[in-house]
Amino acid sequence: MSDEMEEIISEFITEAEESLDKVDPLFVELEIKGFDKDMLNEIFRSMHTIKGAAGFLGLQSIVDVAHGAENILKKVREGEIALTKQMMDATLKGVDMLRLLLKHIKQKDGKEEDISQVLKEFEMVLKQTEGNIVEHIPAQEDNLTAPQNLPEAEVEKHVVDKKETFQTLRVDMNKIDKVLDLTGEVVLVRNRLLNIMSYLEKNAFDDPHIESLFETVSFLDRITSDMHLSVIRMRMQPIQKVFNKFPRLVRDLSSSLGKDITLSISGEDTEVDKSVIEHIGDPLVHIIRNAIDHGIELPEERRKKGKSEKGTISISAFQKGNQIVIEVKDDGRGLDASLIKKKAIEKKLIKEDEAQRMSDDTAINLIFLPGFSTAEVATEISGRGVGMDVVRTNIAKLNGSVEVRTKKDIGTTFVLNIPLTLAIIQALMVRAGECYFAIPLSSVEETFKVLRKDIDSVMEQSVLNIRGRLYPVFELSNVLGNGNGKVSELDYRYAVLISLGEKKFCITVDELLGLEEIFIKAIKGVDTDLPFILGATITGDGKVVLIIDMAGITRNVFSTVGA
Amino acid sequence: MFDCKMKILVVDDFPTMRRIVKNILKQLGFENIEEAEDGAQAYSKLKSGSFGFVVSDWNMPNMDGLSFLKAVRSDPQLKETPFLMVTAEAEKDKVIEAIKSGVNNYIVKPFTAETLKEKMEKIFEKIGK
Repeated sequence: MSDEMEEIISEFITEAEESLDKVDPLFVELEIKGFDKDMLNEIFRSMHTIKGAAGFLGLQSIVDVAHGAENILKKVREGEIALTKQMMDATLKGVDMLRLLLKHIKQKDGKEEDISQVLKEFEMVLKQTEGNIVEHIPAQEDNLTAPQNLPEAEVEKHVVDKKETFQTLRVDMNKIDKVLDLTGEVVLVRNRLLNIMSYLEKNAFDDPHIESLFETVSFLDRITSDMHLSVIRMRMQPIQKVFNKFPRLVRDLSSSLGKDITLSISGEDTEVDKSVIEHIGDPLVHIIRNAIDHGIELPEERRKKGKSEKGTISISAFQKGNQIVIEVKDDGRGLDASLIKKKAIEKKLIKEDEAQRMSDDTAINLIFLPGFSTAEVATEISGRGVGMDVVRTNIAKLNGSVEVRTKKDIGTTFVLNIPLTLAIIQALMVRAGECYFAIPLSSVEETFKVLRKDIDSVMEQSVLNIRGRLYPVFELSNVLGNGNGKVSELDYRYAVLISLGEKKFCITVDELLGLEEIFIKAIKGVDTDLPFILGATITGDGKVVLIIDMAGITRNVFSTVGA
Repeated sequence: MFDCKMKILVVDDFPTMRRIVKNILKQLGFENIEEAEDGAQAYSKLKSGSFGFVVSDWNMPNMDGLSFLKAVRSDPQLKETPFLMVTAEAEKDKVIEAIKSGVNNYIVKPFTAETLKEKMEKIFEKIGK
């Protein structure tokens, strides 16, 4: 195959997949709203386009499936067959088959799918409705008289409306990443320059050249920030891309479980980094599956509880500072802390006495432990070996956190916090012993200077009283294991109050050096499986500094404390 | 025969299709090719530049191929532009409508460079007469 052909095929796959993703929510909407010519037209067009291009590329099975689906949709659009559940199911199966076929081509695995079943179902749909008089389609009469084209008077108007079309350009992701990487380097150089400037400001202020250098550097500073933001924007896409899959998911699952569930989605325009789009899908799918399978009760049960028979799942996304917040909320039965404790004991995740001391909030968070699953019977839907721990791990990979709030019979809400960009973060620079570290500012709540004598000890655990609340205290060097057992002799410490999800604790260090905007570089060639290290960066004064992964630290310290 | 330097407008809402058609045109020696993703965009492009030939898909959002064709034919400045409509097999019956609206010829997808060449030759032969 020529390179040109290969490129065209890979382009085709990307576009066909995108087009199928757009189709899914339309189907669900159709099912709710009933006959809608515009929606049918759009789905029809997707099938039609895919078929057309696939024909050129010699992808016969795709042509066949798309043709079958197209045929049905056309007949529905023309009012020849009714919009029935059977018709929808068959067409959706066709869409799934197309996805599968595209996947095989993409992965070049040479696998062939048996499309005869899908085609047979198409035929059944056509046959069953053949000859039947279609009655319940309100727009049918329109169909007979309204041709597909617009009346000529409207054509002119349309042309005027469409003058300002967005110009887009497809660019290889690697090229954008290269620009982002280089921009990161520029940010680092800028930081160094600013550092040098602040030195000069103190020591060489009477030189007339210095002032113009100041101006130039501060100009560069502004441009760098703007440029950086622009590059980050290039990688951002609306989260709709992910959310679009959910109506179909909820439809399929709820109907197979005999549950009646409404899905409401908001904030789908919120833009997030491309890598977030890629990695947030699976965790969200898992949370939603759980909500449908375990959260929302059967209609019967809901009625007995005096709730509406129809359950609701709402998904929303919004930006909060430099974080993206995604919430998945259901109005189901809520998580049962005592049941969770019981399960955790059975699975030997916690001990009996631990469970007794444990607060309900802490117990609920046990669902994030590896090997935990409360489903009585592992159903096909959610109990497939991947649990909430995978959800948490995936979110942590995005540098984010996940929290759960629940109330019996009111429902459960999962809140995902994800940083806007993965590459650059605000960090608090600290010194512990002779080493310097960067702590992502997103997890820092406050900093204090404390006298050593103010740090108490409760049951062998150091604690600090901050405005009447006790927080566990950990020495950074000890946690990282680089303290050489030497304890600083200073009589004061700097405490950093870390807040991650619902967990709060203090990390003590020798010195706070201030805030810096740092660019995270992956450490290559070194074993970075260390759970505490997110990556490395070069600071304004040219030092290479390790960036601490607070999520990792949190897991570690709390697994030993059990608090 | 036709001039390989003439500007051609390829209209299709699916980028891959535009690329395929462009590719085929390149095989025939055409270099000066522009794209538009629907009838409306194509129409304003046609207005702003001297195109010698249009290859347009039928089924597109915003403004489909037939409406686009009608718009071109009713525009005194553009009405002479040679217009080739790309259709799917299923749309063959609609071709009559396109011919009534003044399309120069139609081509059923998928097509080869050879077929496209034939169609184009036919069109330009007729115009030349």
